[in-house]
Amino acid sequence: MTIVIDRRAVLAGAATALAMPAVLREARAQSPVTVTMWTFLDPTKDGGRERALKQMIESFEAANPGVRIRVEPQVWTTLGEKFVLGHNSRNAPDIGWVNAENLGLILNTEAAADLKPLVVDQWPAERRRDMLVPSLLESMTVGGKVLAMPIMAATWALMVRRDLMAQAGVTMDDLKTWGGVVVAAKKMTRDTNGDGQPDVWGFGLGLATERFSMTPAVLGTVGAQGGLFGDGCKARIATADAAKALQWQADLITTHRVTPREAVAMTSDDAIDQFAAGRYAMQIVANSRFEQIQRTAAGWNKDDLAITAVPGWSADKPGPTVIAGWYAVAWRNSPRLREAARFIEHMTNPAAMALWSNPGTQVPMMRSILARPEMAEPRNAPLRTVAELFGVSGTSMPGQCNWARTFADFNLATQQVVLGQRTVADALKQAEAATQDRQ
Amino acid sequence: MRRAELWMPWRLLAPAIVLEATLVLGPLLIGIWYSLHNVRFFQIRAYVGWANYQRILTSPDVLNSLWVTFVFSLGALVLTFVVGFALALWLERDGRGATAMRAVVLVPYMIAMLVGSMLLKWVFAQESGLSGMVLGPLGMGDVSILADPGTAMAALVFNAMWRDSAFAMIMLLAGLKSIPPGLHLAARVDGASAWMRFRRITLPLLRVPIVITLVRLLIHFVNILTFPLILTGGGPGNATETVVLKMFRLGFQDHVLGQANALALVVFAANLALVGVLLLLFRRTGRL
Repeated sequence: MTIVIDRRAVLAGAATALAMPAVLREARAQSPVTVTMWTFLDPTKDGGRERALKQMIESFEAANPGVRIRVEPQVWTTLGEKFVLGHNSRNAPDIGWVNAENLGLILNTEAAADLKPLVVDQWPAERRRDMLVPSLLESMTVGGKVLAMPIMAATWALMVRRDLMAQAGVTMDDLKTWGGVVVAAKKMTRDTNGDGQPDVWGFGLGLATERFSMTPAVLGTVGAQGGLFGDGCKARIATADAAKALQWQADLITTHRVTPREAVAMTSDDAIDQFAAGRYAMQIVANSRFEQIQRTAAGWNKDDLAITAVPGWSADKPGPTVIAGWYAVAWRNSPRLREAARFIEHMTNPAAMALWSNPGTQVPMMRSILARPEMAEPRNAPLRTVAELFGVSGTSMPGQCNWARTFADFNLATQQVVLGQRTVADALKQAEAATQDRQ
Repeated sequence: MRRAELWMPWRLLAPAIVLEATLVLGPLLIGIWYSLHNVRFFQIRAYVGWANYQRILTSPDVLNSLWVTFVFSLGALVLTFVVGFALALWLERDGRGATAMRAVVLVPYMIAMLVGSMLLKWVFAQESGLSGMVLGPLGMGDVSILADPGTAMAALVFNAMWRDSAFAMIMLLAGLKSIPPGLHLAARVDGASAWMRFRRITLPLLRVPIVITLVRLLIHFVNILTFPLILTGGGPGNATETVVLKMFRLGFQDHVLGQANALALVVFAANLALVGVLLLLFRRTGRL
């Protein structure tokens, strides 16, 4: 068969070729923009936070018909690293979630976009006043640029069993100072079966350098000196205040014997499991674990679990409520930066914050949410307690400083003191050097 | 020889060379490049020359981890080999009992390393593990295996022996099976005792499997991450922080990739040296 290309066919082909870019441009303009987000939540699953996120996505897409949100769930421990690596390979998502401990990773690279002009400057005046901890935003600000927006807040608090307190004659007022905690822990440490070994220890600790968490030594240091870093993220750990806090922690094992020696080998998860199993009377635990401990409580009534403020060094000054949690960052090279910023605003506005609290069961970060009638219900008592602590003694680590493993440095120092390998001063010098090396 | 025939071996080798270059040589070169730079938060900041090498080779933590690796590798090697050899000799004869026992011995080797170490962690835990139940009635209820530097290292060595003696057994069993039974029969007819037969027949003929097993186990133990990471977390007081665990922490937790790569290359050189020892021993046994 012979195909004849006549003049008409040539003209039609040329016209099509000329019109093609315009047609494609129009088609692209009409197709929805897809904003990709990396988070540890999977909105297709059935959980409180997952349902909250799903509702937010639905309401955002309804209000912005040209924008679609695609969630790509990731392992939570590596979200920060993956975002920076994605930025390096020019393939980061439009939005990434990062936990407070890994914000240093983001804020020390040039991966995050400035959200000040895109989000913060658009806020009505009362919005900033509504924040329970306005300094949270300052800790995310580098050179006038707001590089992350808080989505969910969490903290560490003292969890204690009311039944053991009652048996030992301990009151909540006794737990307001670190000194009082030691006295109470001694009263609550008990050998119930007479084998010479305590079956219930007064104070639980997990001091391993893997899967670690906040400990009294860190909280005592932050409470005494206001933080762990000086100007330019210079580590301040080898100090008299830190020495006092570390000695207090080591003494729980060596002198007071209210914490098992095995704590030096236990992860924070191990210690929480032991607490839920009824082996400890008190422990510093992330508030987000409250429900988990209640659910897994074995041999004791879950309603006996109470949450209270971190002790201070004196009764008139409460201990610090160090705020951690999750933050949203927008990729600075994102071709959909405006849409991404719009969704970040949508995830952090008062309506979204209400969803994060209910059904998300997260601690309210705004006064207006805390004042809602449902927050007065008994089921929300732990959230209300923590939110009130935010308002009274809330503080945050400087975002630009890398403190991801500083808790482990404190744990190693405690191990070395307990094992007699180093003096408190030497152990803290090493911890300070290790933290400083990571800046 | 025709030109096409000359190129044929290279054509056949090309896929393997390309794969090696992509998956081994490329990362190795990137690792060398990183080790000469200050790499923070996954970003190259400045060229620092040999400073990273100097830093890690004078770091007390790294030197401690090298010593820990030496102690662990030696302890694990000796115990794993002895137990593996004993199992191989015990289970050499074929029979239902021996076959069943071989299967039982292989179980720890078949379990994922991570799961095995987690199981042992529960066994050794004083507060909630089996060790508390066993040691309690003996008046040692306050002994915590994982909270003492000496016993934590012993637990780590036990972890290695528990899992890898099965590997040693398989290797040595294969060697034992290759010894002609007639040699033992003839020796027995000549009145040789069991010890004499073991020393004069079994050991000399097992020389090559023994060398392969020892060097393979040694390289494995020097490079092991899972056991210390899961069982002891390097503690207490860095008493079980091996060099590979230190490298892992520098790279993936501290995000100082320059130093991590410098240490990785030092470990790589140590591995090359171990392979060199393997080749030397092979030559001495007359197999190369």
